[in-house]
Amino acid sequence: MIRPLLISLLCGSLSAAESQQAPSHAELPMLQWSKKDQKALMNGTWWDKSPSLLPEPETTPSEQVPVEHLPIIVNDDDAAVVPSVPEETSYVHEYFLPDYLRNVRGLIDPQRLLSETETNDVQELINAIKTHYGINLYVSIFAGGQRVPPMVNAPAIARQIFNANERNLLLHFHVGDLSAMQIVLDPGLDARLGNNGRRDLLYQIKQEAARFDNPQDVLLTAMAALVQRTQADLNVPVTQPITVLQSSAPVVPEVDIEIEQEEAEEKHSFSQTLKMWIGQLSQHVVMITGVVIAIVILPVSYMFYRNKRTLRLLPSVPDKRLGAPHGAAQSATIIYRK
Amino acid sequence: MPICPKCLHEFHPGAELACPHCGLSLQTLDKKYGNKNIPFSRVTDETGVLRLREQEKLNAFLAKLERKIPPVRLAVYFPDIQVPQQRAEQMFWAFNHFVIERPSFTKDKQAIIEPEWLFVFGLDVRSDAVWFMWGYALDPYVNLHDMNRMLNKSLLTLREADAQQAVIGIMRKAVRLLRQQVRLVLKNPDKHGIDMVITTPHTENKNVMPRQPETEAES
Repeated sequence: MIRPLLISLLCGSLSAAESQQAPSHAELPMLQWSKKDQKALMNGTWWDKSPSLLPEPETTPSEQVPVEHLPIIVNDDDAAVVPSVPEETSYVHEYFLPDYLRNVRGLIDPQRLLSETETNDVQELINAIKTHYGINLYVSIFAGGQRVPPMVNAPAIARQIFNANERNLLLHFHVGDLSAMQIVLDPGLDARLGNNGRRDLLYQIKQEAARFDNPQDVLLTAMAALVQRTQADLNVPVTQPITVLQSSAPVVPEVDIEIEQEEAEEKHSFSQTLKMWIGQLSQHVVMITGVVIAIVILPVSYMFYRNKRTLRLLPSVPDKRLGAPHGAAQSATIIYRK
Repeated sequence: MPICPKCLHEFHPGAELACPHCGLSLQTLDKKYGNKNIPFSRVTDETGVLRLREQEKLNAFLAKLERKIPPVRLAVYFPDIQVPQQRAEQMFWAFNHFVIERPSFTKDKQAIIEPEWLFVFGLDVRSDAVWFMWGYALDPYVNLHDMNRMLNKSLLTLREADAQQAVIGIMRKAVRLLRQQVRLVLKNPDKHGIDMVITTPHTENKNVMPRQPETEAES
């Protein structure tokens, strides 16, 4: 809603100024464009606050355009003079770059690519997610097919705006270009999901958002899907926000870029191996005790049975000798005391 | 190989009547010591070494010990030997003139105590000598070498302990040796002259004729 009005307003003022005698660039004062000016412009009070910019007392404020800091493309046929920021979608103008890195609300749209209604809807959804899930969801908006400089790519934005002790998500959204969408997770979530999990999560979000054609619906669906699927994957309690993830480690968000990391082989020393064995054996104390008792008891029982059992002697053929009827065998006689 | 009690010479098994070396026989000893019977109980104390209570205790111990090796009968003999040099032949003569008093061995009135199964420990307190003697049935089960070695190792016990304790210790060791030898013999009974089907009062198969001794076959 705001963007067409602004365009028509700027076009009308530029055409009117051209019909009159516009001041040269050297005569115009230096403007400092800030969010306050932007807000005043949205409210329609910016012209009243900047009367010095008016070239003529008769001209209306709506016919004047702050052309100092807005890049202007002038065609040869002088047919249209359009501010390049809303229309130029091939790259992000450097004017907006700092605003991508200074965000506290959640919606990062310094180029004003979303209408006011869309902005309000997105912001409400972000607030609702923060309330219900305890997640800081950031949405950076770019135009479809817009080339993003490295300064404001997804990991750079996340590195600047993510809070260290909270759960953060960043949705890198290109209006009308669903394939360029990216997500960034905070280190805790990223470590739990891993590269494959993160790619699968992005794929599912794209699949879910692809059901819609309207960019706003696509964006809202992607936001909701990102949060819900993250919660589902991690099985995190919904009502309790995670307060401390990594208090000491620096926040280094990661994007869905495949990074080959060599898995270091776990090297266990002898003491660690011994401790591990002892730990495993301690879980089976009863079984080990039973085995030891069995090992001790079985031989003892066998020896006890072997010594106590009766051995019945079998009769033999008597070797009668020396005329003795009963027996004639004697051992050696031992003299035990001399 | 049998050993003569008098001359300690080994002789062949066929010498039924007399020793081929010294001519010892029971008939000659009968002329020397008389043809009289000697009453013999489980604990026969002719010298009065043991008190009555000790005799009873020793009797009970031997009765309990002999249950491990039936039908062996364990006994202790304290003879009154006047001439120690003739101890061996005198004991040979006495062993064959024992008249066994059955109540001292068992309370079963139907039981038959056969002298062939006697295993007697002799202790002469006059000359401080000990020895073993046994009947014909125990010949395959007694390892003479082990018995002599065991007696030699028991010298300290005999010197320092009283008679009852010494007898108990020695008889326990003797029975242990007997059981060891019994296990070996019963593993291969034919090798040791044990006939499984001989009809004796201890076997129930009475239809099988006893095997003839090898000595008779050779003769």
